[in-house]
Amino acid sequence: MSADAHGEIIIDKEIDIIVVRKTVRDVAAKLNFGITDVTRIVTAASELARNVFLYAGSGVMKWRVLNSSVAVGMELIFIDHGPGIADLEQVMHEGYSSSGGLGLGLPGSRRLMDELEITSQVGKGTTVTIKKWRRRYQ
Amino acid sequence: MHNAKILIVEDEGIEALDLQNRLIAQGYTVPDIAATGEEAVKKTEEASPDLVLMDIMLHGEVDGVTAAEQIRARFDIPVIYITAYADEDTLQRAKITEPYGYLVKPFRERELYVTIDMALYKHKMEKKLREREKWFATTLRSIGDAVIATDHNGLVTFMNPVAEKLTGWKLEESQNKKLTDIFNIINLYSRKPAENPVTRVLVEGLTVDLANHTILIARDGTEIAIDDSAAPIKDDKGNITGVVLAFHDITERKQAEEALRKSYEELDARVKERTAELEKLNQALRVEIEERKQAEEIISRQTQEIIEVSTPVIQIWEGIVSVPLIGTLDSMRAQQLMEQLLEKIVATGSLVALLDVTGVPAIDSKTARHLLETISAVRLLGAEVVLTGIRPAIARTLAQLGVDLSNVNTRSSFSAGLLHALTLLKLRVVNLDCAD
Amino acid sequence: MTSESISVIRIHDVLLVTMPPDPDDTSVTILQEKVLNAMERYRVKGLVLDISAVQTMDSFFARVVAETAQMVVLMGGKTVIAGMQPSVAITATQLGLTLGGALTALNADLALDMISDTFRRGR
Ligand SMILES: Nc1ncnc2c1ncn2[C@@H]1O[C@H](COP(=O)(O)OP(=O)(O)OP(=O)(O)O)[C@@H](O)[C@H]1O
Ligand SMILES: [Mg+2]
Repeated sequence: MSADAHGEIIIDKEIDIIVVRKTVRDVAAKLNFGITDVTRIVTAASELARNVFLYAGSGVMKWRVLNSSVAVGMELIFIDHGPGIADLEQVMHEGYSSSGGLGLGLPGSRRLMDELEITSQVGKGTTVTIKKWRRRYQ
Repeated sequence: MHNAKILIVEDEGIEALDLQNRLIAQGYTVPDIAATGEEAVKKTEEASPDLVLMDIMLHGEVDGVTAAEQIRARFDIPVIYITAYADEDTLQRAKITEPYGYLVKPFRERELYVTIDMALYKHKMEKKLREREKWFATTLRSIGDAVIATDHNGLVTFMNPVAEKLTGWKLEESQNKKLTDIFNIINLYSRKPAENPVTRVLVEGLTVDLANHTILIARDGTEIAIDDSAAPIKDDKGNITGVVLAFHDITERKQAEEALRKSYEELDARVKERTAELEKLNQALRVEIEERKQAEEIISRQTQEIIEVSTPVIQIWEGIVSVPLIGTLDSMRAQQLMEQLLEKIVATGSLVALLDVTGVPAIDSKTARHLLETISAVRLLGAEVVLTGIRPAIARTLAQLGVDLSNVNTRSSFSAGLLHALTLLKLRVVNLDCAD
Repeated sequence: MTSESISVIRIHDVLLVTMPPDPDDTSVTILQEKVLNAMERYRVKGLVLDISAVQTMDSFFARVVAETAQMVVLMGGKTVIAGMQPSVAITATQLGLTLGGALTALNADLALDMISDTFRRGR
């Protein structure tokens, strides 16, 4: 996998969630993430992709390989132009759900990943960026 | 002054005898009487009197003035003229011979004695003064310091040989020259003219020392480091009549100082060099330490990895795996441990995992969370965890942290945990000795 | 479509469902219905959900499983989730998933045993 590898997956059907999981799994595995980390990344991606499909109807996931001197990373950006989120603090709280879900997607993804950043504007859309790092020496 | 020897020079025999009697009566000694000028000189030489009473008008080739002149030139003996009358010319001639007094005939006895005593006293004083001057001059000539004297206008009146040598000027040449003409001094560093100490003395009336780092530029341009002081010469009334400037060549001292300074500088440079070397060494050491640190980090990482690898998740019974936790449980280790334990459980098909925390020094909330996470994950697999080695201290900490272990199997000792594990497996431990 | 590939099998008094590696939401939802129908039809003692092949279990999947287990319990049965992979277990734990009233077992064999006699491990 080349150092600046990147790609994009459009999410507008339910099955695209599967496509996202497959793509993310492939990339993460190629970056030599361990099986548990691969599972973590794929699971978080699945959560966020489902949120895009569920709350915004459609969107895109951009993935990119990150390189630092000590680590290799994977960055996933979920972008949608849906209704947006009014209270970011609330949605990051475990158990909050507007759809009768478990309300675990966002806070859980934060735990599974090394970094999670969310920006949203009501009426404009939401962008969630997650990153996972792997130390090079491993 | 009594007992003084007095030579009488008188061509009138009677008058000479009368004078002799009067003098002897008064206590003086009269060793001889001379009647002519030639005799006077001769007898002065023979008798070496303390004083000569000389009649100006003498018969013969040599008159009194000429005789007195010769006596003054040859012997240090005071002469008193005795005269009845004197023409102007003779008086003028007599004056030049610097007589110690005149007695005009006819003189009274008392006049005679006073004149003689005054002459003797004056001569004695002059002699003393001359001796003093001689001594002073000799001293000035012989001392190592250069000495220049000026009058109250700053004009040179005297300089000793050392001063001559240092300035390059001879006394004869410099006399009545301004001191500044022959004593040219500048500041070593600024190279600007230094303040003339004589001027200052003349103005302030005090002894002044020359500023440090003074250079005397000699007549030929040679530069000499000097050290000096100047003092006023005052008369009895306290008026400044001149200045004495004494200075000496400190080139040698300067050179010694310079040499010392240089050696200090060298030493300093050497010290600096050594310091720089040491610093370099230090730098190298620092780099080495840094490298060593990195190496150690790698080693510790590898050690960590080895520990992780070697943190033995072992199967201690069919259906029971055990993992002793040793040291602190940071996130990364906790993750790896969790993975290893779960893999082992799956691989061995174990239903119970004994998690022994005896080797964990302290449990913080993070470690506790890792433990709870591990327990939850193990349960998701379909196995059970028995937490062993919970000492009172750890139990207290966990309680304080609000960690809920109510639905977790905990045992204080590993063996108690093992027994519990066997129970979970529906196995019973029996003592064969006591068995029926 | 994967939804077709998930089948519910009855072995004696137990329903056995073997999950595919990467089930999509629709298949999972359909499966829930299939299970509830079978429970009703066969009067079995419980359900064994073999997820040993499952690589990803997200909150949606977990929720459906938990709901299903809950319904099975309400219908007088037991649900045993069997063969969860270690990586999935760890991820699920960290995500914060719980499986409600579902039991777990290391593998389907053990799970099947559990339905008839909870935690029976004969030698
Ligand atoms: N892309 C999005 N656009 C708009 N709102 C969103 C988006 N993502 C999440 N949300 C809001 O944030 C809430 C929390 O999301 P989260 O994924 O944590 O839980 P959930 O989706 O409700 O349930 P779960 O993911 O556990 O099934 C959602 O209920 C929804 O209101
Ligand atoms: Mg969600």
